[in-house]
Amino acid sequence: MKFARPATKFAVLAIAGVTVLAACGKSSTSGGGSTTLGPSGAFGTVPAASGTPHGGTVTFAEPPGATPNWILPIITAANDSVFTVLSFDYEMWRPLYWFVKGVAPAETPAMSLAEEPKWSNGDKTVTITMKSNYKWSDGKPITSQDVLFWIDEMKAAVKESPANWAGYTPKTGIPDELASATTPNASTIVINLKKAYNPSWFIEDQFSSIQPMPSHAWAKASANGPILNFTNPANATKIYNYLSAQSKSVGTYATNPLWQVVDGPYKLSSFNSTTEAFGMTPNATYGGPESKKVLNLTGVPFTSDTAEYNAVKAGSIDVGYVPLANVPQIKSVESGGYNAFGYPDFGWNYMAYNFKDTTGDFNNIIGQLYIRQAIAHLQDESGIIHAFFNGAGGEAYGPVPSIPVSPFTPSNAKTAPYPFSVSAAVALLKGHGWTVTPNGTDVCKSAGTGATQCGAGIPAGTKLTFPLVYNTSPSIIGEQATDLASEAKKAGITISLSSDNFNHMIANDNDPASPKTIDKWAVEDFGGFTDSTYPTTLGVFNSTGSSNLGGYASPEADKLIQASVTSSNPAAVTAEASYLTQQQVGLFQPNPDLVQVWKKTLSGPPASFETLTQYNLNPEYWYFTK
Amino acid sequence: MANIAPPLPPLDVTRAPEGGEVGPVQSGWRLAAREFVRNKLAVVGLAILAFFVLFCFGGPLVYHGNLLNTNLLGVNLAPGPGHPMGTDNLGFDVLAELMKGGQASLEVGFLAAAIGIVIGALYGAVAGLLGGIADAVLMRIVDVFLSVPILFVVLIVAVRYGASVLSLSLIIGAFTWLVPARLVRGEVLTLRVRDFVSAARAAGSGRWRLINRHLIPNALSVIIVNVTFNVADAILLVATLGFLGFGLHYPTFDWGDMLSNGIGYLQAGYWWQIYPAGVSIILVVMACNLIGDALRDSLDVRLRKR
Repeated sequence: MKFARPATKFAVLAIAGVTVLAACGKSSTSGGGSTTLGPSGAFGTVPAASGTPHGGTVTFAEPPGATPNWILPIITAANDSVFTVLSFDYEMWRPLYWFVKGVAPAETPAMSLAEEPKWSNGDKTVTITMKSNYKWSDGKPITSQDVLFWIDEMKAAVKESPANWAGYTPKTGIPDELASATTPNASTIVINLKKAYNPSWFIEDQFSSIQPMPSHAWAKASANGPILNFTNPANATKIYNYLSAQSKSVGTYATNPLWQVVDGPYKLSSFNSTTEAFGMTPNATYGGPESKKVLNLTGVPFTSDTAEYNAVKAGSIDVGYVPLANVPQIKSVESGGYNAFGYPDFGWNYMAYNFKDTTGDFNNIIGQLYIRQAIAHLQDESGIIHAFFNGAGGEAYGPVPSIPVSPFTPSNAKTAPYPFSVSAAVALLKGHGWTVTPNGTDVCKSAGTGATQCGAGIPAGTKLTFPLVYNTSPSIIGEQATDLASEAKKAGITISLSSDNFNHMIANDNDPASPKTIDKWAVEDFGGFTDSTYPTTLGVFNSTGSSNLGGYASPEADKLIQASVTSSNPAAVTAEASYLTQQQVGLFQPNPDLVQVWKKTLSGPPASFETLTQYNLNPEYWYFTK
Repeated sequence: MANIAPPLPPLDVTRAPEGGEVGPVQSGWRLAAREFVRNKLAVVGLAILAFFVLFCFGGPLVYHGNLLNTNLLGVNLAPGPGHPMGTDNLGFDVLAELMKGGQASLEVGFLAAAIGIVIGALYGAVAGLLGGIADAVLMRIVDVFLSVPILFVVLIVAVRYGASVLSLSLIIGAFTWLVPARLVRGEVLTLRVRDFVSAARAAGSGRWRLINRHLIPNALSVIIVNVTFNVADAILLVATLGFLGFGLHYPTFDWGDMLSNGIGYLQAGYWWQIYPAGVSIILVVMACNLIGDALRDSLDVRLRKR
């Protein structure tokens, strides 16, 4: 589960078996002709691969404020963004299992480093066999030792700080529930777990996070030091400290010999530590599927969506995106020589509540379900899709929304559980002891824990006011924040707006990563999370989650999340999503489509372009046709 | 020992130029005002500034556009009945937003300039009057502050503490006193050796009285000119912050924020979200600079045409 910044997305109707959620559509005739937006914001199809492969360098737009800032394949909570992981790190170090096939919630086996895992012992033991076609760039084979190396280093990282690995959840999965990991031979690793786990969750959430690391080159504590036995915990700690220190040194990314030993399709050739622009060249020893003419890759950072869109309009970027504000002009982009395709990524957008912020008793206020329900009533999802997304998106009411299509979407997330209604919000507040003053600030009149009182820990006289910090980019986040503040004002809830940037927010407005600043924010909108295809919210809404930004803690949610993780019942994760939707643990927002564009002179398998909407970057499949 | 200048010879009225008459002696301020109004660009600048002050502060009294409630069904409307300048991406009335945004821009501009000029004038006067090591130390402090990029500091403060008219005015004012301090200090260095200052000292005036009654009033021309440039700089800085997305937030508006929101729709052809705010910023800044130039010309006797 990774932090994501919502950008522009569209839904595609071409996916077999997809039922697309109806949303407010809007056609536009301004600036470039009509678009093909449908009722769901569905847009475009990906053309089949064609043409004679030619080489070259493909330029890829890095969205503003979301450039890579970490390189070691043990991703910290503070650096766990889709841009760092999926669009940068994965180019060099591939995960054990590759999930998402285009936009379908399925594995792409050819891109996985290992054969399908074999479960035994009542789902407590799993045997993984490495494929032979994948090798390190220095010619050495990828062995089971390299998988074990990642596991041991991850354990050392977590031992130093739980925030050192974004995927860590205490007492769940790896490493806490790992009984043993052995390597009977160079290609096999046997993992024994302390209890049975849901195989789907384990593969899609845990094993897909493992990125084997070259133990023969990295298992050392200094640049010129000897290769150490990493299975010794003391050595593992020394190695981790060395590797993480190197990862913090962004200025040396392209020159550090460590980072030149890769198993992915690319090697880093340049990295600008100021702008975080990067260049990559093909890894000649890459053993996975790729084009006959693998292109060089250049990541081009942009300081604003406008600047990025201008680059698209000027044709100066090969692969980019179209901001939602510019969706009505998509036709002119296509006529300018681009293909366009859009779909929402798996995951959700939301405003995160800080359940630990004691400023003004906000923790007690937001701890009340009726307050969260009232805020949900103040969000006009269909209006937002119409006004800000230009129709390109779907309504979403929980962590597993209706779009993108998932077999795990609960029934209460298919229609608004708390539909937009200021009067409903006012009624909830009045019914719980608040004096409601539209365009003023509500005050708790009746303190106490009774059914008609404000709730525990909310003294009489408490004002219903809190700050909301939002990510400045893309602009739809600020627009949604402003709209909420405006609607809340009608109900007497005063929301003070301020803005920040993505990287600063996920590093500071984040309880696990920055507990010292827990009282510095109340509600934040940085974007949302991308999720695995098995969409449990473990790590985000369980009380000990490493990405539990606002410290949400509910025994019931913990129980349901545990069931999703350990039960083999596929309905468990649906039950979890249903509860979180009902509880409104964050203000779930409509899911915008991510509109990706690429030059018509660039071709490759359709899935390699479709998957751009999932933040996956697979240029190894691409080639220029001219 | 102070040098005593020889007394001027008595005025011989019989030697007045032939054919001319000696008019009544005019005060320096009156001469400056006459010089100012003769400068056509200055008058234009003053008129523009007066227009915007009236437009921004008087306009809302007669024009009541919606700036409180977002209107998602009425976003990005072109100018027309009900919305003379159209609506923005949130459905707010652009004309009303222009007025409200102008209020904030002008308030921050003038308040920051006032803060900067008060601090700078006092600081510069003290440094100039004290001289010696104290002057050197105080001026090095100014040098240090001048090396700090103000936009960077304002951005941090805006993110850390939130942006408001007051906070932006304070932080911009806290950094715009540096240039006035240097200018006033330079002026005081020349004033402090003048006879009237020596006389005041001899009469027992303390340092504060010297600064308050003699030095600052005589450096007023420098100060006034600098105020106009500081106002322009502050308005531009607020616009820059707003453009970067770190300016004022709903329910407050500023022109930079309007511009920033509008830029996203540039390709959509929603010109009314860009030009009004952009032109307003340009005109007000230009007006301040025109006024500043004209004041400099009219207050400095060496630059007067006559």
